[in-house]
Amino acid sequence: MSEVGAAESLLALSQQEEVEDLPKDYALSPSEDEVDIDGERNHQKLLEAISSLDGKNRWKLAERSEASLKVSEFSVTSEGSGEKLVLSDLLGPVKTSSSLAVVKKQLNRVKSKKTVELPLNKEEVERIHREVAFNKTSQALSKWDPIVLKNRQAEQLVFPLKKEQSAFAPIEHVLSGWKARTPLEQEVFNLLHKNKQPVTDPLLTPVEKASLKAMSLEEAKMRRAELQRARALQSYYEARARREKKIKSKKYHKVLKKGKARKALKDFEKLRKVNPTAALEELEKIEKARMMERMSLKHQNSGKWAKSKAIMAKYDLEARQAMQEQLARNKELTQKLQVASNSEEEEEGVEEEGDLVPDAVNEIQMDADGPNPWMLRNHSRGTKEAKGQDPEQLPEPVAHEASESEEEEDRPGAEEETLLNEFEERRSLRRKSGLNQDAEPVSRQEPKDSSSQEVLSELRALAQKLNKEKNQSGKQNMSSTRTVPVVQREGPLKAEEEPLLLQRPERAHTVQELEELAKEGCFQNEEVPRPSREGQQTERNPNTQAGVPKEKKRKEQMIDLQNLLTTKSPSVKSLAIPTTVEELEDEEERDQKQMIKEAFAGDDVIRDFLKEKREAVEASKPKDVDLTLPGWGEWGGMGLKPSAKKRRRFLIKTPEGPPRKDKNLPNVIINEKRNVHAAAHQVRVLPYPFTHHQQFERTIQTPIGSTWNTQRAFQKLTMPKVVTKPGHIIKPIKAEDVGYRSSSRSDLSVVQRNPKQLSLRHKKQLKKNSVD
Amino acid sequence: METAPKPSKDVPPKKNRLKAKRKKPRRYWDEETLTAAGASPGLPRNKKRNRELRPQRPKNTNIAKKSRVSRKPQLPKKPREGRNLEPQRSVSGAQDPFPGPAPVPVEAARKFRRIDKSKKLPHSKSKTRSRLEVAEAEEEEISIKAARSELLLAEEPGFLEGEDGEDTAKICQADIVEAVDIASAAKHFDLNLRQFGPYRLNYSPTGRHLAFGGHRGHVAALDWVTKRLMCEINVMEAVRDIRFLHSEALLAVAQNRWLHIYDNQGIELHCIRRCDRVTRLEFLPFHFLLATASETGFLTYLDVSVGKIVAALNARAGRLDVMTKNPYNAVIHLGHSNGTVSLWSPAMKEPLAKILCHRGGVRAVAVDSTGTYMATSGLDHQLKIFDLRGMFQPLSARTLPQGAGHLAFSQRGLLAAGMGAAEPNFDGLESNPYRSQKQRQEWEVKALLEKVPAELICLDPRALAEVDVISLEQEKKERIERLGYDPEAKAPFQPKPKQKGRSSTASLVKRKRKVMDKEHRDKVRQSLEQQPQKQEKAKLPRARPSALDRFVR
Repeated sequence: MSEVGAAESLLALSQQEEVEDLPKDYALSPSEDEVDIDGERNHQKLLEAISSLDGKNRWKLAERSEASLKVSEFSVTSEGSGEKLVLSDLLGPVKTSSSLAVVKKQLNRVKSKKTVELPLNKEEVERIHREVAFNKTSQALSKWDPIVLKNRQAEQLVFPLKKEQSAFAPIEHVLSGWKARTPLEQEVFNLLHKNKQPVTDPLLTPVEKASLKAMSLEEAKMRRAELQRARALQSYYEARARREKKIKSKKYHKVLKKGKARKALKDFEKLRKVNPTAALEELEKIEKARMMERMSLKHQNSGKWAKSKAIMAKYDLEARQAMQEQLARNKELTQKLQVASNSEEEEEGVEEEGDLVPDAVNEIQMDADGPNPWMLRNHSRGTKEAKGQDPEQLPEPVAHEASESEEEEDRPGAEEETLLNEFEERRSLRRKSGLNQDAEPVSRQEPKDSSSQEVLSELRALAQKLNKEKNQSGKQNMSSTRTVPVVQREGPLKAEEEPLLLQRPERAHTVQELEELAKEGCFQNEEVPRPSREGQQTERNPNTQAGVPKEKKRKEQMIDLQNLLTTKSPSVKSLAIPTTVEELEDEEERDQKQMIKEAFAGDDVIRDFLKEKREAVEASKPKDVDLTLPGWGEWGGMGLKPSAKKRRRFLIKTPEGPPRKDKNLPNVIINEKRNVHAAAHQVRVLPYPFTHHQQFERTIQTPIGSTWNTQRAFQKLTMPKVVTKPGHIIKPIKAEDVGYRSSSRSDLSVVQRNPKQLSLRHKKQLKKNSVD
Repeated sequence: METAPKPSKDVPPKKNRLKAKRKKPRRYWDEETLTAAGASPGLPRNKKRNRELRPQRPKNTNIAKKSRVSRKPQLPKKPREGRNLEPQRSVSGAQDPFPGPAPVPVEAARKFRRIDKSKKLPHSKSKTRSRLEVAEAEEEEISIKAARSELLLAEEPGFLEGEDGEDTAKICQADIVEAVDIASAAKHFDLNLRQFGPYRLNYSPTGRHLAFGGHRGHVAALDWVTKRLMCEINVMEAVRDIRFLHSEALLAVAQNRWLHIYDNQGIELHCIRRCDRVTRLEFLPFHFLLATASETGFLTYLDVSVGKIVAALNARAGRLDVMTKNPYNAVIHLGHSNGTVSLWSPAMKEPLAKILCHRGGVRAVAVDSTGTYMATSGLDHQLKIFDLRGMFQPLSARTLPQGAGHLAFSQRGLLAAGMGAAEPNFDGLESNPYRSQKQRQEWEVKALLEKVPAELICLDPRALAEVDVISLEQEKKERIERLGYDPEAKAPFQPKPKQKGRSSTASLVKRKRKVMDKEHRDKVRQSLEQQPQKQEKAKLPRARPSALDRFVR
């Protein structure tokens, strides 16, 4: 717009100039033909007057008041310019024009200057402005980043940000205005006052205050001097000790040590005479040192140095001597000190003195003395366990479980026992149960075994069938490899079923063990030692060979259905057998078994179940798609089937799904169909920062309802993210709010001065104006 | 007041042994001895526990400690933080001997943990990681809070302890009544009901009310604590089963023909004819579902809050007369005559799982309160305990002389044959036996508001906290199809420009090739790992067993 305006004004100017030029020419022309001067001029004037009447192109002409005679090219008139020529004007150039230095200078300057570059394109200028402004602004804003981050991660934001100082006075202030009113309070306060105990100011009692005040200036000075002296002395000693410590001479240290020992002995002797009780204490110390020496291997000829010397001893007298010296030193150090004052000690000392028996013997004696707390503890525990075992050793197969639990409850001081202790006890318990199992009367086991054998032999045929079916799952190898030991163990009767029997998995056999298992599941770091148990199992079940991880085994093996139903888990034998069974006669029992067997002779539950399971598996398998068109490319019609090759070619096999959950569980059918109704309630979109569903699942593991949490936890979990106070204005955050110094440049206000925004606004205004 | 929540399921019930392990409450005068004991070797202690028991030092040293609370990022404001860590001076000038929150033993807190940290997560970006950290910290804090409030469970469970050589099974109720304290003995009562045949009975959820129905039509409900009879009627029809609904005010009675609902005055409120010939009843309190098993072989779920039948499932196994509920996941267990136990949810037409338990028919089923064990007894006179956590395998089996017709687990995990043991620390907020009528009404409203939809019943109730992976994948696929490319796909490797002439085209190609090869190798390795299993499968049928195989070790 402005350009256009400028152009217009320029045009107007140039026109004016042209117009102005014209009359000049015109004015010059009459000078040439001066014939009709007056008439012409009058005529001209008239014309001008007329033309000026319309007011359009009115211009002033240079008026000429003198005769035109004077007008020539060589003279200068000031006429028409409106200025008068002064004489000095005429004189000036004459003087200065002699040297053209100034002009030269100006010329040079003009020459040296390059041509001014074309101004940048407007858009480009704006872009540069924007860039600069952006950089500045982002720099100014970047200091808010940590605050923004903090606020985003904050559990809760409370607005308005400016917190009022809590009006709670500290409790001391509140209590200072408090007075004893009730008789009890008054009594208490009276007591306190009587004893001059502090009531409000807790720091010092009046007595203490008085003592503080009592110290005079001189005393204080003296005390200070004393302290100074003590400090100085201490520093001297320290320096000396440091110096001595640095001495590397071994001999020096040896001598020093010996001297010290000698001195200590002398002191002790002295002390014994003067103060027998203190001497006793000293003696104890020495005794302790002796014990330490005996425990350590310091002078036992077992060190590196001693060994090297021992090699040399054959040839080197010095080495031999050194070794002997060391041994002597050991003897000396381990020798018991004789004290005459204490008769009891003397006796014991006499007992022990002469002996130069091996250390082990010594230790036992020490044990009897009982200064060693560890040994004592062990010993007592041993006795305890022995006691605990006694009731268990009674032949009582009925209530083993109960007694087990009892035993556990009985554990003395259970809360104080270490984990290790617990484990030990468990181990021992288990060992005991194992013993019991072994020790159980054979007569009871036998009928059971025989009965189960009967059942088994009856089902032998079926078992074989099953075995055939399951050969695919790759058990056969395993079973065939392990036949031999079982044959040896169980005799020829069961030889055919062994493969099946051996398939028994590593299962938890008792409730207790299950607990352990569960613990293992829960606390992985807790390792449950179970050596005895394992021993049993390996004995019972040759499948578990050392080195094979149990978990893997469990997964690999197919649990046999027959086993589950016919053979009992072995723990039953060791555990309590119901009292009533005990009362039953063997014969009766056998009769009963027979009856049961007869009753179920007809229906084969297992086969039905297996059939059902097979059907379920088949139904759940994805179906292959057959795209063969009969009759396409070959003969078709009744009774004609497309060739196998063709069928194979057009059969689209669906990929095998993941293995069924009940693949290795023969007695279970688990429905693998998806619960669509429940799935509707599940999350099906991963929220933003998570890239894998497992990550997100971990964050929603904890339930937030009050049913599953304590009140506090519930409140914390359901706390609102933003809290606002009703009726308060929430102002935008300021630098002062977060502890920043506010400066005009680096504040948020920079944003307001953004040139881009400014120019935009400006343009808008302009547009508005132009429209108006 | 805070109540301790129940521990999560993963923890096995500890039975009565818990008592022995329970720590003695700590008193402030124990403080000195405790610290001294920690130093002396005389008292061997559990190291971990020892560390936990050590009183926390004042704040300045506490920052470096492992305490979760202090490790957390310091936030501008902690709204409900209970205690200040700084030892406060009181009026007397004495300092708090236990500054900071009370320490919690690790084991106690572990019981309430929900996140299994042993599971490895795929690599996560820093932003995700910070989120995960926050979640984990929260979980830990909550578990600590729960463990701390366990202190409020002051009651200790009782147990039976025979003398040396005495069989506890032979101790009869009368002996127990003589031995226990007066308050416990007062709870013992006998009902002599001889006239109206075998009875079924049921306690209300709070345990305060008792309803029983005799086979010859005798129905009664009473408050057994005060022995106040609420109602006593004869319905003139055989009563198969009786069950309280969500509160003691409503009573469902399975009669010979139809299912009837009475109130506690004995007034018949409903006669539900769609549930006919019902043999067994179970009530799922959190879902407000009454499950009925009928002679016709149908398992019917009735929503008692709206009076609608949610699902009627045909079990296809003949007459149903053995039923129990799993209190952990609200799955119904049905016992069948072919020795199987089937697990049902109203959301599925087929059973969730089917377990072959016995050679004969199943006579009774019971599930313990943690949902871990199932006890079954069958016509083959066997009593078996099954593990319900995924594997459904029998843990133990034993033969009973006559078999068991009824089984029940007590709250503390004893399998009942006439005797149980109840939880001494009952949850008063959940089911309060001493509640007033007003409280009951309020509880009822709250329970109705918190009603769980019936379709959420599934074997693993925690599955709800999992992402629906299938539909997630599906949506992803659809999105890729729509966009024409995978927005989350890994960008192809672009070698970084390097200087000093190492960025020549040849080297760029070489670098690219290197990365490509590595990826390819990984892929091949993965496929190789999967292959041997398949190969084994393929090989096995081909390999002919030789006679000498038996000698192979």
